[in-house]
Amino acid sequence: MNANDTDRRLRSRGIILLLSVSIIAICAIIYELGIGSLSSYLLGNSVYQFSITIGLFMTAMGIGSYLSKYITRQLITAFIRVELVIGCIGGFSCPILFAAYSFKFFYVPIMWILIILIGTLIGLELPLLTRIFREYTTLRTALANALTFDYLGGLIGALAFPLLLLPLLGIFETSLVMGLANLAVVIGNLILFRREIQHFKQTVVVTALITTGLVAALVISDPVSGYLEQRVYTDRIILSKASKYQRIVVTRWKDDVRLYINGRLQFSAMDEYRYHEALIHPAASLVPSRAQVLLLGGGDGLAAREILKYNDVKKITVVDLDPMITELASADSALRQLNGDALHNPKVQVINQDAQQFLQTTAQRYNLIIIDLPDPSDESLVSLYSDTFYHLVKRHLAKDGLAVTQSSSPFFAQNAFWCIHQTIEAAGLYATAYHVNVPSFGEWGFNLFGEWQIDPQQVRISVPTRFLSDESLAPLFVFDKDIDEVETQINTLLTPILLFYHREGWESWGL
Amino acid sequence: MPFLPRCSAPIPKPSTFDIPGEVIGEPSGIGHLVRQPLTETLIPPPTGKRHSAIIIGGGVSGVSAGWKLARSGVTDFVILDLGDQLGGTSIAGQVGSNGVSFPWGAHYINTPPMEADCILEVLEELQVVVDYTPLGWPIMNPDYILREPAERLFIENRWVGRIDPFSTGTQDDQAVFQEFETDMLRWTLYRGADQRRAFTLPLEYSSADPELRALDKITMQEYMRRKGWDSERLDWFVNYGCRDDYACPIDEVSAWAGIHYFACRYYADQLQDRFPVDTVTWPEGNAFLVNGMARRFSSANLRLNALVVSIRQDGDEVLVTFMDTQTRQFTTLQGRTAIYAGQKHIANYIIPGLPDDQKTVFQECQYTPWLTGSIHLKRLPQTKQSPLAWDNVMYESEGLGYIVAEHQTWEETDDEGPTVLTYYLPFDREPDIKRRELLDKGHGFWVDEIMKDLWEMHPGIEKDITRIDLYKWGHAMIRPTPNLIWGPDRGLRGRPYGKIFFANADVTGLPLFEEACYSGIRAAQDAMNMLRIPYANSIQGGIQ
Repeated sequence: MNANDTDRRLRSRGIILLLSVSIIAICAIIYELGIGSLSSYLLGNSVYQFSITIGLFMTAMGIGSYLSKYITRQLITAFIRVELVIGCIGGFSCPILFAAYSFKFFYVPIMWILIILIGTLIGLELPLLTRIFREYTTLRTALANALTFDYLGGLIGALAFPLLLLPLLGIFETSLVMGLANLAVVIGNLILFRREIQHFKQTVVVTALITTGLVAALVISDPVSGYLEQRVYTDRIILSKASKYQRIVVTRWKDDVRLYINGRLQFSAMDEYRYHEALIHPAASLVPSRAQVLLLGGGDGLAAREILKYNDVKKITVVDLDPMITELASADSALRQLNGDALHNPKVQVINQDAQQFLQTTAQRYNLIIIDLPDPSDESLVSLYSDTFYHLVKRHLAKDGLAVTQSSSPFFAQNAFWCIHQTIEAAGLYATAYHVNVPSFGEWGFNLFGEWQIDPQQVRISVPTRFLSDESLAPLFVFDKDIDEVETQINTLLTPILLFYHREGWESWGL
Repeated sequence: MPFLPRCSAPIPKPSTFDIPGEVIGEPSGIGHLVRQPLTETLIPPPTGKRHSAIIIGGGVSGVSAGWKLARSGVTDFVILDLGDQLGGTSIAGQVGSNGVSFPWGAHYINTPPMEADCILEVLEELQVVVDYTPLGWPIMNPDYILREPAERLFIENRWVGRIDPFSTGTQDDQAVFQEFETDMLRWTLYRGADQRRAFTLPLEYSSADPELRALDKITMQEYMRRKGWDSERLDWFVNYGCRDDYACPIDEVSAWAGIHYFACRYYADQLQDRFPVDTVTWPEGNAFLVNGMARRFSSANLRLNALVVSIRQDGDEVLVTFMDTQTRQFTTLQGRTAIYAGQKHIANYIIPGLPDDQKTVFQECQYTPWLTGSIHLKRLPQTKQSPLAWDNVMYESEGLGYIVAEHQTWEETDDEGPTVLTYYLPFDREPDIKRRELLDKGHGFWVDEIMKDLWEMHPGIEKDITRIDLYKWGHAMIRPTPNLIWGPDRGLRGRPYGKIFFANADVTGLPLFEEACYSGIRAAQDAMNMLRIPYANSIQGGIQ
């Protein structure tokens, strides 16, 4: 072997080792983030879960680093063995944890044990690798290189987890894939150092076994995670997805399909038609034309389904912030069945944008504007119920057009409901309040508004419905004493009093 | 073998502490000279040129009045103050000639609500407010925003982050606290029938809705009782807030004032994204604000160490006589107007001829005494469980805890150096009796009182203490008891008497920087109206 060959070998070893440092750093931080996120999904209190996870990890890494001093010989063999164990435990960490949760079997202790085991092994890795490096270069360079690539890997992992891995793969698969990444490091180093490794053949066999195990788990992860999650919800889960914002779950029990976002019920197929018919038809039947319809929110396509019952509709623009909801509603068979595949209708255009931003960037006027947004429970939502927002809506209504907004419950949050009503009026619009009983929600309220005063008696149901009829309409506009109008303050951008009314209303019911 | 605790035995608490230091502050004899009837012979004839305005009192209100005059182009005014520096209860001390600065009194403000026009004008000039959001919400200078860890509470023998007695309380405590927070969110966002905010700063801009002003007729404790809130921890929490800002306990403070503390700024968590409220502070405390405003003054505008003994109107003029406390020389100045920015009970002694109704109201003003201690340490207080915060408070303590002046200027490397803590003890009950005790008892007695409290938090800390200096504040804060702010006499404390205008936080009734500043600017504008000097109105009082 000449000097050049040796040089090249050394260089390729250096590169593979640096690559190993980055990969194990990526794996390490992702195991950490995976366990932290899974625990916050399942147990809530994310700050606490992440603090505990990171804290325990750091401690365990310290222990690992300390233990590394007892490894004095056969560094590369030791490193490969450590990697094998991390790949195995880390790779299976999220499936194990989820199973523990699903079977209610010592979740927290198991979580701690996993964190400590993985942390300790990860703590062992870097000192070992640095020392292996040290055999090719000076301590100064070895440390600098190892730490640089370690931190770099940390950054890549921290970015890839929420942006790439979680949305693309899901948490279950992410952990398995990271296990495989650790195994890839093992394989690379096995090839590189094949002559220096003790029990080479046995190591190869173990590597093959663990790799097969991880790949097999990856193949069956869908049905397994489905089965485990199923055990958590009482109804059968037919779909479960996590975006970077929220976790969406669809369940089915007999004919009832339910959509939950972060565990909160969005609709139930048993009675959603009551809600959506009431949302759409009074306004839709009163406007002379339904050519241009704007739907703010309502990415589930259910409101669009009702609007499409009118033949004179030329275009429905659905503006919903979360692409995951609109994708789900246009792709999932249960939802497509429920919304009559509305989002694939050529008349429907889906735009994923904030409702206020959308209105600010378009000059289009609409015959009908349907506002089907979540309740005003936080700072960003409450501004979509402000006088400023209604002024904006007014500018986009055709002269004889109408708008309607869901307005929370006049029973559970009486002040909030009437605050929305009076805020609309304060924006110089005529508002008409009505309400309907939706069993899975309770008494629910709407406000119909425009630049002209409507007459509830003129509402006619001219399309096929399951719930509304001309005869059943009158009581909708009558408010019994316990839910009748109360005087409230106006909800403005500067004084978002609706936050208080909403919080006070639902809080008093312990909801 | 029985289990033996391995920690060492607790350190025995000494019964007295022998710590050097001195009592700084108003020499009580001189302050009370004014109560002696002055013989005519002591009053010399007026000398010097005629001032546009003579401002009596160099606290925040007097300095604000001077600031507004100077900003309007009036330069021939003079501020008289008994102390050797401007600031009143916002003065600062310093270790050595260029050592650590620390506050002797008021030491922070919070992001004001956006309608506080005159306050924002001052803060803009001082670069404390650096910008506004598109909604018009003020953005504070990040250099001055209080750093983390901001505060902590010593409760059940351990430290918890934030002044939060609820996390360690029962579920009932937490539920009651949640109700309280929701109620305060309501008041924060509430507007009266006149569309003004229910509680705002300056307080004069608040809604005149009688329903709201009725809250000034009951105590905070009564309000909480009517709400059905029954939690000792909530009582402590609200009481701490009222004592901290008003030096007045919940069973004596007006409910309007108590709610104002929690609702005048947008404190609620749900509002922080759009309306962030930051605390801003400086090593020297609010002396920073005073000195910032005083940058507009020249030496001709100031007469320090001046004990004003008489303010009287003579034809077109106001004659103000003072004694230089160092030379004991009496001087009489002549002015076209005067702004009395001192405390009202003293006005009765030095302004002859005040109408009886005003005299009675001035006489009835009650002020809480305070003791502040500057504790000089060789090194920072050591606590194992939690890092030292800026504000360190003990649950159910008489004192309000201590702040660390250097908190805002620390560098990583400073950790072990000598430092100064300022300790605050308000005498919020029976102020007149306590004032006597405060003045009568000496350095050793009060050091022991402070140390008893401090020792609970930091056993053995006396070993690190090099000295404790004390500041005795006989009349530190107006007491916002029921009917002070909105009662029938409310206008009288600020009613001009001839060419004499009245400023000070006691005019509107809440002992806050914002109120003092507002009253000073208002008095300056009133004086300029009389002098027919044009100015830009800082007090629009507009509804936002």
